[in-house]
Amino acid sequence: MIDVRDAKNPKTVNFLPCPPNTRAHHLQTATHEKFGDLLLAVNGPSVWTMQVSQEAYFSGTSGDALAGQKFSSGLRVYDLAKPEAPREIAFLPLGGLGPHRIWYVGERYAYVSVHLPEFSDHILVIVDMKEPTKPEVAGKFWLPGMNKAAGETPTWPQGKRYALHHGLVAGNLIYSAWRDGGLAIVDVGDPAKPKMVSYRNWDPPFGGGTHSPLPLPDRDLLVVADEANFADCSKGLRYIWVFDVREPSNPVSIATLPVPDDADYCKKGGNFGPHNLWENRPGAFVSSRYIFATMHNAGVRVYDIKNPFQPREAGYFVPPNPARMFDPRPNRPQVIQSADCFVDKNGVMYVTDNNAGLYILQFEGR
Amino acid sequence: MTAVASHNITFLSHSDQGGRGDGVQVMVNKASPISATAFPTALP
Repeated sequence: MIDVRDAKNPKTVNFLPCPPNTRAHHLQTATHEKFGDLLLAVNGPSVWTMQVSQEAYFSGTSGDALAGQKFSSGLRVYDLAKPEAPREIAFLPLGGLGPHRIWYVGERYAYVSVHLPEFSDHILVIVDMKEPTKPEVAGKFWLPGMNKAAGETPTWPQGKRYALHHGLVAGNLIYSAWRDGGLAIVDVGDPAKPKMVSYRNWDPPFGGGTHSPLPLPDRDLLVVADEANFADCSKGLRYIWVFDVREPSNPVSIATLPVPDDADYCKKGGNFGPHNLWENRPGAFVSSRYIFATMHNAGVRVYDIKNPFQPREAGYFVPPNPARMFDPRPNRPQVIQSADCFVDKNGVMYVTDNNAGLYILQFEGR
Repeated sequence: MTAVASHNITFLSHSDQGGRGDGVQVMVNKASPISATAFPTALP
């Protein structure tokens, strides 16, 4: 926990450790109408600590890559009445590799990508947060071929990873990114019975890794980032796509965001290209015009999609390379790998990195 | 701190997250940001 009441003088105030071999690599804070401020955190395998190769993790099923490893698997819920000292109030064990990402904005349900033992990889699990001390699984959705326990077999090529990475909800629809499995728009109006509305996969010819969705419901647009989960552009480039979703049953790609060209990032070392998008969380910076994206070794970028057919770059910040490495895997390049960006209502940006800590920046481009 | 490159974004500050600079995700809850992090090997 870092106190940033003074954004120019952040102060680290606390740290919550994880169980052995476990990483809380994704979390959500939100205000529950009855219980106040909550923190939801995933517990899953710390693939770096366990020296799981990037190639093995992103090819095929993650369950195979992590077979035999021991770690905590589940969803932890904390009371944030004292944000500097979160108090754990619940743990929902999920088995398998457990959760990877969460979408929760304080309403009844949390939408979590989870690997359950009976499935080949992460699927959508809808968690009922009516009683935050007793979170319960309310529904599941998966792509055809993922339910091993039901006898389903993969419908995708060997070496591809079909797994829910992350989904964001707008209205009754979840816009969900399934890594090499593409994009699914799913009706979750009845959490117990999610229904596919539409499905798109642009791999091949583009390379998969579909990672971060951002619905912009006031403009009937959807932005989707494909993760550059490999080094040195060795598998080509990954893109951020703009879709017209006026008709959710027929999403149409209308543009891609500009690829950074202010330096030769393919030769810089490390990964180059999209990772996370800023997700327009309630109470923070909400815009359907400015898109914030972390781009690994190209830092953080802001795009203006006032004209969604002609997106333009509106700002960027490339931090210096990290002074030291925390990534324990051998032979990792010591370069910036911007990972996530939170934007507050004043345009203050909080940008993380795999090794370089937290940068606090101000967007001046509006 | 000098950025390698920047346009329309200015630097305010930097935190090494108490010596655990391995951040993947960050949330800001009112005044306090909470960065998902941590290798067990970095635990105190």
